[in-house]
Amino acid sequence: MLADILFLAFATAIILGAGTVVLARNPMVGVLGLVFTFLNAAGLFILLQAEFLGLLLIMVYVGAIAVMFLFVLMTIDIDFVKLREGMAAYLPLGAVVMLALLAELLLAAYAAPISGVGNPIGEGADTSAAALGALLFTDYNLPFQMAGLVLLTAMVGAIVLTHRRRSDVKRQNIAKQVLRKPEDSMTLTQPKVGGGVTASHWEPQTVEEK
Amino acid sequence: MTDLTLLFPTIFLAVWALVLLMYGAFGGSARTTAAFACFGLAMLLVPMLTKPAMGSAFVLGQGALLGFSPFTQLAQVLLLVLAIPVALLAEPFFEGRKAHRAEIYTLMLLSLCGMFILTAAQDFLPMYMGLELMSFPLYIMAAMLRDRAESSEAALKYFVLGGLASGLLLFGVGLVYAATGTTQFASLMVALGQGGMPWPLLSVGLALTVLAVLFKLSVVPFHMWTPDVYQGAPTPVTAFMAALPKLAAIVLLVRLLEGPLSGLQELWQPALAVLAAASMVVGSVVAIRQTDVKRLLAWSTIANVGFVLCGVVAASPQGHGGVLFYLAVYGLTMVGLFAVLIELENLQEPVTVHGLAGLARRRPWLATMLLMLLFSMAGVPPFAGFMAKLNVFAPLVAAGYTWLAVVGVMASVVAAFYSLWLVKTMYFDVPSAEVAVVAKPVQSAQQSPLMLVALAAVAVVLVLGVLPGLLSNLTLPAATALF
Amino acid sequence: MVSYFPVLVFAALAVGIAVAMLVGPWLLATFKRDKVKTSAYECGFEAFDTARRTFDVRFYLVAILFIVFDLEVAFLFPWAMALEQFGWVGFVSMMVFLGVLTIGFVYEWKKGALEWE
Repeated sequence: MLADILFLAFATAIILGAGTVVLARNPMVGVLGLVFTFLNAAGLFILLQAEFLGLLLIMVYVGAIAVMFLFVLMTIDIDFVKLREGMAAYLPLGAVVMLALLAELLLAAYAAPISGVGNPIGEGADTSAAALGALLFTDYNLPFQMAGLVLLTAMVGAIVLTHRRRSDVKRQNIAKQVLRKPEDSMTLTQPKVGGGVTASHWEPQTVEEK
Repeated sequence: MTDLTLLFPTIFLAVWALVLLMYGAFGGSARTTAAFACFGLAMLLVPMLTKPAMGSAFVLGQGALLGFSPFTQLAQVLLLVLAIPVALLAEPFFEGRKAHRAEIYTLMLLSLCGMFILTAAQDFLPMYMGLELMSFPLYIMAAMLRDRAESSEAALKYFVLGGLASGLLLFGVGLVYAATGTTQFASLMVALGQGGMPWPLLSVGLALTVLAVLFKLSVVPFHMWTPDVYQGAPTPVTAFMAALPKLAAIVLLVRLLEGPLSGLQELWQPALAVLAAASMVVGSVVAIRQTDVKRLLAWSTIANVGFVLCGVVAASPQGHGGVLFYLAVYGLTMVGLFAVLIELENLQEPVTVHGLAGLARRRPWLATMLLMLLFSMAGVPPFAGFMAKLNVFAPLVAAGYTWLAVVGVMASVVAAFYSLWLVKTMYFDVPSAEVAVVAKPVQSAQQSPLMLVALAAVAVVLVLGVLPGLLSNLTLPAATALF
Repeated sequence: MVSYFPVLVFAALAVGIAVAMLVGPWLLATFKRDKVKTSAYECGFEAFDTARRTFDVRFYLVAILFIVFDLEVAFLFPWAMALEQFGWVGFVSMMVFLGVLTIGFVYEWKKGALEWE
């Protein structure tokens, strides 16, 4: 009973959040709507007893990806109101496509209700993070390693496409700094009284920039 | 624990990619990285040819995550053989544009690694990961010329639409899992083999899954990304995209349709026949109106994928053998064509249809090679393209799809028209004034590997046209052992 | 699932209090606005532009590298919890995974992607 109420609450909130993402005038509000959607989806996962996935959703999607969206919004300078100008023109077509898809899914679900399959995770299955780990790192080792390669690709791609090494900036060479000795940079002199020191015998060592 | 010798080529590719990445990061030049990449690929051919590994890896319950058969084996060898000339194309192109970076070879190898997994996948999880590992490097490589707006646009379009296709695939797999409780091809086959129509939800799921593969193949309703991406991406990357992922995706499609979905043949066969006909017709007809050669080749890719699908529709070993034969010949022709195009771009020749006018007088060698490759593409008899088309249409007629074969032959005639039109432009048209001014005088291009690649492509296309048995004696036995 | 009930209660309380604090004043407090009260403070300027400024695009690189490592860490949770259940296979598989990403890390270090300049 409580689970049903919670499901309805989370599902309604997801639809509201997703609506905010699409309709918000201010993109920042849209991203916050996205965060709200993710949070409620996490609630649904936990309701399905997939607690680890729920927490992952909060950690990765809310913690990293939504923040990323905010970053992107802050780095680009686009007039979002202008971008949305054509929306009304495409709305009828979009609505038709959406309704068609919805009708298809509803018809399919009506013909063979999913509930006949039972709990998608399996009745009484252990869904804890430990059980997930026991499968992921043994039987499903291969997709796991491939996920590592995909992450590596993302890393390489991000650097290849956005990193520029600027030549007009001075950089720190830590190894050089650490290896530096007092003799390299200073000379001790004992000037006679009243004589003073002339700078001529001391040549400042130029610090090379790499 | 599984026998890792089966996975040796895949692991080798991944490790080699990492080695190249480190080599580049620690100061290795892009040129030497290119050499190392080609060397690694060539070395990998040795164990793959001498010790073909068959069997299942990562066995789980009824099935396995990966299954290696003669079909996958041959497909992987073909992928490798095509990857080497493509890797050779990158240097002459990027070096001239000051954008030659070692990372592109790492990305190529990672993409190849994903294709190897894709050709062997026997479960939706490795299939999805393989598809992503294949596609991600492609998106990045398409944006390699990051200072050029078209390059970024191509990458962005490809990425957004590819992401949509991945999303649909995941949704489809989710529905399949909800209906059957399995992600394995073997268990799915058992579940579907019980006869009767599958549940509607299951069929929606399966349709979405197949759709994602068709997207990668750029079959007609899912083809809109192809021309923009092919035109905008750096030319060697276009060659890579045209030759390799198509082969990997079609192997997956064949193994998906003939494996778990074999019980539903009366459902997918007519559907694919319609898509194949649409691809052939739309691709061939739209190509006529193109003015940019790269864009024209993109539309011709769409048409060619339609021809390849004919072999899939035939659903016989002859058809599947024809598919491999066709894609090998087509991939090589494309690589050769793009090699010539890069050479033309490097010589500041305009690569538009009108810009090619009078090319035969300015650069007779390049024009001759272009002519032979275009003839092969058009399916003119002494070249391999003719045998390739014959090898997919004959099984199609045997399977009772004569109407599709007729449509295919008609589309080939249209395709032959634009190929011959290009030839006519090169040989008989007079260049417009500005082209004659822009083009630099003839200079020797002997030192670049471009001519080598183009020559090799021409030679293979000629040899396979005369002696198709050299390849079809390999593809046909492989196609009788899909799993 | 039951163990998450306190979280739910906590979330409900948080939402309830936040809503109460927003709605309460609106219902109870008295408002008498006039032009002077709502204008900028005596030494302030009238706003003439949006307060938003575009950030340096280098933040993007940092953010995406953060996501990659965030995902890497996400895999470590189930691994640590199930470490007793599987033997060396699981241990080695995680070490390979970490090794691949460490190579990526070395790459980005050498490329100078971690330097702000």
